[in-house]
Amino acid sequence: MLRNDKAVSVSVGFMLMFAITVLVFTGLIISFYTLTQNSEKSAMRESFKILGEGLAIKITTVDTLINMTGRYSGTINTLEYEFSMPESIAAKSYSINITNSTNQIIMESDNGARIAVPFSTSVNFTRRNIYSGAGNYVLRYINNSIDIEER
Amino acid sequence: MDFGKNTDAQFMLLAGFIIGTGLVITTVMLNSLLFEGNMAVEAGNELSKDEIANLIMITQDEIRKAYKNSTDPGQNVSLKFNNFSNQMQNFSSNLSKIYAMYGESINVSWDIERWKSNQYANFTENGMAGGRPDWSVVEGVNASSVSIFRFTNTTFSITGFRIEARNSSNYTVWSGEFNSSGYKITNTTGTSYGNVSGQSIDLNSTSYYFKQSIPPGPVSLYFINGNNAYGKFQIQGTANGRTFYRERHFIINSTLSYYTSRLRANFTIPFSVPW
Repeated sequence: MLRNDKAVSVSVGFMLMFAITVLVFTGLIISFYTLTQNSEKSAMRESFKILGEGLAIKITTVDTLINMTGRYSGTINTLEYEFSMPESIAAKSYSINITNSTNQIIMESDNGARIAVPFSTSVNFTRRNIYSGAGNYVLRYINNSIDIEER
Repeated sequence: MDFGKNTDAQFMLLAGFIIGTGLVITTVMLNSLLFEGNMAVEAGNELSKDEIANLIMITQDEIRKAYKNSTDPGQNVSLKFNNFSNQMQNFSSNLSKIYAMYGESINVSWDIERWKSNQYANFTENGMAGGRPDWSVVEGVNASSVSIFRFTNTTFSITGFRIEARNSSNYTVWSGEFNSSGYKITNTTGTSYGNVSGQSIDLNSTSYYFKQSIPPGPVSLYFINGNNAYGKFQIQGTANGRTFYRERHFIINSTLSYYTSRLRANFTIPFSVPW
């Protein structure tokens, strides 16, 4: 019975093998593509969290220095705090929207990676929407308000 | 054909298993690699806020010490400004060297014009005209221990300046109101009226009923409408079991510059002296 090769076609066998191979490879390629995309998004989100929280700390630091000077009834002549942000994360540019209505740092990219980090200041904050690419930025206290500018 | 004894495909199965396991391991490693490769790590240390707080505090201490050293009894009065500047200069240059070792650059400068022209501090919290007018000078004072309670070279505006001694229930047990035409003392035992004369007031004098009016128990001394008066004040006694000393003459503005690779800060702070 095992040697019975009736109803066995070499062509059908080849087609079946070919189809299965194509399906398996297609599945494999799609899996890898999804994997890389997911990794990229997760990495961006994690990076956004780290950078957003770092930026919130820097804004709070400037605010603390303003308050410290105010506690001694001092006047701030110059206060500038420079910092760098990567020009791209996972080879993708992104935007940083710093709102003064909800006091949030919203970082997002075209691929849907998005995070919002809250921050708090006792003085006014000038709302800004900046884009990665400049790389270097400066937090400046000017006209009784904290402003963020590209360097 | 005996299937049970046919071992021809064993190596093929083993190879398939190894390739499959290898694929899983490679995938997991690739995933980690992609994740790490995409992560953006920010370089640079965070700024220490304490550095600037320390700078302000040590500058304040040094200015007050330099003022005290240059004006202490026995010092040559004509050299007081030079002596003050010399001590501050020494402090500034030493401080710059210390901060330079940590890669930070600082500069301390000072302005003694108000002192030179006898522009006395206001009786506000920070001594400036725009400072907080109502403030607590010292709390938990044992009124009977107050050995000095003196105002000299004072000028009061028409609207007046007030001192209040409040007990732990925030009830005013004694108050003195001074304006350009006179003073009014209100206390638990009596009232006295008089004129402010000679720009010198010693509240320990019996005519002001300070010590005589305050019942046992700690009081807090408040200056109210401190922006309506300027001059020198001096209060000394015991508060909370410890000796306190409050004396203010002038305001010395100091400009502090603090530079690091990332931060540039320059601010001017008014320091009252000697306290």
